[in-house]
Amino acid sequence: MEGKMDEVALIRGVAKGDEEALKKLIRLYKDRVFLYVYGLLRNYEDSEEATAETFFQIWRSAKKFKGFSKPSTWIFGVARNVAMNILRKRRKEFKTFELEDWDSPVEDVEVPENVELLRRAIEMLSPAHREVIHLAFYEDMSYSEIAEVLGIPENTVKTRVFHAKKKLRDLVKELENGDKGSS
Amino acid sequence: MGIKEALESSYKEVKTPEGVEYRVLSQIEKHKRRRWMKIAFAEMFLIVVVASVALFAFFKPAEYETMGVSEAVVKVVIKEDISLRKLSEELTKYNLTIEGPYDGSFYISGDEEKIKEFLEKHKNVVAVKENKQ
Repeated sequence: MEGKMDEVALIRGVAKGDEEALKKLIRLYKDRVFLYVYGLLRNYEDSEEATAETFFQIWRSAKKFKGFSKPSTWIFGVARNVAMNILRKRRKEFKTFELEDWDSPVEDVEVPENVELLRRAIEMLSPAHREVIHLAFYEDMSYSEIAEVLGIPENTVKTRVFHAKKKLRDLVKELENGDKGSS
Repeated sequence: MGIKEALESSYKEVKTPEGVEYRVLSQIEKHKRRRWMKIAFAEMFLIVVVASVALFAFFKPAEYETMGVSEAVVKVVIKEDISLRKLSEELTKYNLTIEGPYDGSFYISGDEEKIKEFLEKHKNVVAVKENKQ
């Protein structure tokens, strides 16, 4: 809670044009923002550009931050918009799984614990699935926070996470079988 | 738990960039400079427009003399038989105008001082009562 308050104060400082507050915010978030946009863009240079652009946009729009959401949620929301703009520029389609999402049941999916296989499977996920996995498991965000970052309903997030985990489980199985077959 | 570990292990290989802070600050500086340039350009444009309007107003030939608060209309009668054309020409020299005749009298309008000056020099034109102002 104190950390959140500090971050709110930093954003307020940025809104007033305090460069030191911006530097602190960059130091706090640059790695997290970079890893998040890297997951979406899968290109180092673009991700570096997106990270810088995210903080530039934060500097420009800090006055709009009202403090209703968590600073991290707001920052990741900005980062997502920046990454999406870069993707649009690249004219690559960022496929989501909205249609698949909405009518699926939400159950808990057991995901295997093998870290190495999981790591490889995550790399194989679609950007949309990788994104929710990143936010849910790496950033430990709740469904409502993810919904805020992505600008979609919470239920859609739930089902997207469900599908991502299911896909992850299937991919791990495939990789396991492939490894067994090759050995 | 496995997923988090897998993500952490995956990101260990990704070296996060070093120069983000510098990049952002130079982007901000560039933005500020561009904004100041825009403001300066807008101000210069405004100054040029105002100066042009002022210069135009200063050098523009006057289409008419403003009479100001001293403008007056004086009823006059002409004592001698003089040419109205000549009278009109004389009046023009004083920037005065004449209207009439209305029942044998005329109305001279223009600067009050000029009218006085004109009447003093032209004794054949005499002001009569009923001074409209």
